[in-house]
Amino acid sequence: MTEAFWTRFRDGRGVWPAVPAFVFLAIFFIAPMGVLFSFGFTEIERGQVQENGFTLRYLTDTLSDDLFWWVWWKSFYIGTLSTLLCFLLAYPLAYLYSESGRRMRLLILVLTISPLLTSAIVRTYAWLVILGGRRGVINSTLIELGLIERPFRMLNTDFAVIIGMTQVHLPFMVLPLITVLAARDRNMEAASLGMGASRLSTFFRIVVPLSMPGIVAGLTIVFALSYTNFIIPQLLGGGGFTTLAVQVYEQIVVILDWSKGAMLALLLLGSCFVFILMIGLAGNRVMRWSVKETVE
Amino acid sequence: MIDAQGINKFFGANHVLRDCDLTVEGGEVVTLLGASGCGKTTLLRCIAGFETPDAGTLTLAGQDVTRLPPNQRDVGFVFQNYALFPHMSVEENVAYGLKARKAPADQIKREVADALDLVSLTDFARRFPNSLSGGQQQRVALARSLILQPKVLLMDEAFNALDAKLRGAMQVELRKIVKRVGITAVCVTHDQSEALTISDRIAVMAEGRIEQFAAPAQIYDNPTSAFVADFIGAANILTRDAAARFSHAAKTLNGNAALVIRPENVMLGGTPDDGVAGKVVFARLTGPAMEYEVALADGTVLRALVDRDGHVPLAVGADTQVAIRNPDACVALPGAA
Amino acid sequence: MKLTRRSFTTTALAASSLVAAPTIVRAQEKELIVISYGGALQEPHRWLGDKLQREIPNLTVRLVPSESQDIVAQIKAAQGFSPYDAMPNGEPPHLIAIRDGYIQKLDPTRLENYDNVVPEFWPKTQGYGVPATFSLIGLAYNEEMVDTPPTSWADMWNEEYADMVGICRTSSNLGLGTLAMTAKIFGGSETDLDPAWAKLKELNPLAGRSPRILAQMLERGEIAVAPLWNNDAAVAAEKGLPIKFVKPDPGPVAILSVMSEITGARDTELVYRWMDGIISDDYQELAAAAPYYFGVTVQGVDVPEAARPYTPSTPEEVAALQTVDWAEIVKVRPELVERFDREFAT
Repeated sequence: MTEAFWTRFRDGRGVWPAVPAFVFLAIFFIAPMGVLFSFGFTEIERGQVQENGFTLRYLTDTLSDDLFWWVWWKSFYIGTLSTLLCFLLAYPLAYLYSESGRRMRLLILVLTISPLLTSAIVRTYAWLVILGGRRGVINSTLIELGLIERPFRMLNTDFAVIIGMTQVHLPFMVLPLITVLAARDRNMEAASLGMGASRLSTFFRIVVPLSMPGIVAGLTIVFALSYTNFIIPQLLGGGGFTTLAVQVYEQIVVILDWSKGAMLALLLLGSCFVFILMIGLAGNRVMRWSVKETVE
Repeated sequence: MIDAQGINKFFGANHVLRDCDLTVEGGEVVTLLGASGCGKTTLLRCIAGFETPDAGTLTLAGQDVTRLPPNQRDVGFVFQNYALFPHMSVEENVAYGLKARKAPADQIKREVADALDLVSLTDFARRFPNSLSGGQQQRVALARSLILQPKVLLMDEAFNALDAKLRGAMQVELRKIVKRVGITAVCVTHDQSEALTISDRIAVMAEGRIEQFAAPAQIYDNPTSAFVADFIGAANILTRDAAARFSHAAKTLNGNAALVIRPENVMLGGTPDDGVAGKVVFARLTGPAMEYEVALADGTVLRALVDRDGHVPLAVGADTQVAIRNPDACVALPGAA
Repeated sequence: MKLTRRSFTTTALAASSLVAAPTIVRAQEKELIVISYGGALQEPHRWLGDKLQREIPNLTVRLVPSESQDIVAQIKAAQGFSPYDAMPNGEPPHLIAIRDGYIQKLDPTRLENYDNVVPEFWPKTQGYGVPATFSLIGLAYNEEMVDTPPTSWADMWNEEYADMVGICRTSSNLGLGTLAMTAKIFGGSETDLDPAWAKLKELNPLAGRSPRILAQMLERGEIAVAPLWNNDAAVAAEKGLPIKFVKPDPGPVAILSVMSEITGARDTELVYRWMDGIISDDYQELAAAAPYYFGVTVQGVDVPEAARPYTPSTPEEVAALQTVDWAEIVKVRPELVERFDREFAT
């Protein structure tokens, strides 16, 4: 495979059309990232890189800091939970889409995509109105109905962050699932039913496994977005809530320690990459059937 | 085994099945043959239970199954693209139905082995369908259905996905397997040679109706309608006036409206006494025979299939005499051609 | 902007003269970009900006509402090429800005209103910028949720407010002020903050990420009591929200806001005009009025009656104002910001 790749590379076949994207990424993404991450290994005083400033201090300091591990766990747990919640909500919706007529499909698609047209910050502020304090929509309704006396604390909790993230990221889960579910081969289900399997067992043994490419895509995108999101934790989690992404912001903008912030950013992105890789590898393992072996 | 009476089916305003009657005996292989859109697949899906007829009754082995869902009908269905589960190995695919029925593990193991042996796929048990050839996939689909010992095996265009060369061999193979098992089978195809190869009886369908339901030889030799005659073996169908030119065939016509003459029953190059003058407008080699199109004086074009043995090929543009080899083999049809 | 025929003609004329004599016209175009507060508290700055625009032809004064920490981060990232000209800083970030060289030393001779300022304020600027206004950190409470209003700092720990107290993160001046004040009343000091951390943790407080968010939490009734800026409390009360402000015993914390020239400002002359305006009587009178109630830094401006709940109005109250040794706090600010997460991250 690698040899074929290099041959193709030498021939220039298929490479040139990708050059603009490579150049763009190199200038606007890879280079700045490289600079940022290099800060994580450099002593910086008042915005000036010090001579012989290479250091592993920030790496070792961070890795030996309980707060880092605690915050990492928090990021992971929030990201995982909201990704799973997204999945559990999105799958039935995408399935409904695939089973619906044209009008219903259009409706689902519009409902799914329209939140993407408003900014995430505006949507997050809407949650403030719904969840917030005794004047929040939910609490004031419950109090009005006499169901509770003291308002529930919903805002500034893990719950609020997970709900907010789930809502904002739901489209990124629904869209890939819709793609695979709508395009699936219905004969598979007919065959399963015809062989005597129940509808439920057909759904779990045939429909779900065959939608695995969409599931993997959705999980990957949503986990990466949730794990690295820093707006929603700040707005809905309250001042005591912190994730790795929030810590990066704190270090770079509030504390003005670029080296520490860069190191945290590096660890955030690196660990995100590892998790995505793990989701991908797990997906590949589950989907090994999709790899076409040589035909006899 | 299968008794369908007065089956009607509508898709919206579309009347896709019109009063279809079909009776299939136990152990018989029946093919529904017709052009696309004739309703043959819909009729098959009605038998399978994927569609419910709007009128009519369907009996399987004496039980009225008209309104039963597919999984309660005891039928096996082989899909056009086989619908093998790509995420399961060959043996998992074959075992699927037994597992769904909660059969004991040792029974599943034994029967899967037998089924794979039946279709000669024992060595491929652990492969995934994606890595099999079309023919192998078809045999997996067959094994997957047969293992459940259904009363009826239904196959929808089961050879479509195969290339031409493999198709013929697989048709023979399929008939052998089905006959060995002794199962009742209904197949759907648009390919007349496939129908002739695998069937005990053929139901030729057009526009939602069963035009003729008979044994292959019967269909070929005695088509009951111009459509059937044309669809099977691409016969020449002459109007009364055109047929009247052939003096020795006129008595067969016997007052009917049209005459069916098989291309192999058309003879070229005789004397003017026993033939009609014509001009070759097209010629091609089909292998063992030459196929010609010959235009008569009134513009009627006849297809002729001439055995090459001892035959001197005619060139396009050549004048020739057209005659009927065996007038008794011509079929007269009452309706208009 | 509505384009009437007349304004179109004017614009067209201006445009054509721009083409005719580009260098001259552009030389006359001036812009001053000033960091300001968010919401209603920005209005006094806007008033001053409009006044300067009237006085100086072709001047545009742009206000950028932002937290000063974001701005400092931007200036740091721009390696000294600041896109901004002037900014107000509370005492802690003012000291940091001096240390890191983000703001410029003041040349008093270039200010007409220099002598207007109450002389005691000048040393606090350390020779950088002008004393703009001062604000108080006191206790704010939601009167719908509180039966007995707090009167002292120690009241935050009252049984009545249990689990209903909010505090601001130590990334803000408000949070740092709260921390320092807590240390002082519980036997600590600016150099011994541990008692404060322990007492604050005892509160099991709900934390606000910024003063404005803390104020919103109070407005929404998520918390009943919180140390808050007098100005934020005043603006909320003005909107009809049930927010009240008290100057708790032994006294509220006063923090001076210093308006400084940012290093790399494009037109120093303009920045001095701006700073001169800040310490003018007119500006100070406006800033001291409803609903902002900024503390004035010049002599001879009367505190309006309505401002009494929010600002020190008697000599006794002035004497009770608490000050913090910010130099000590600033030294350990990064650790204090991190410590907040160590103590309160949930």
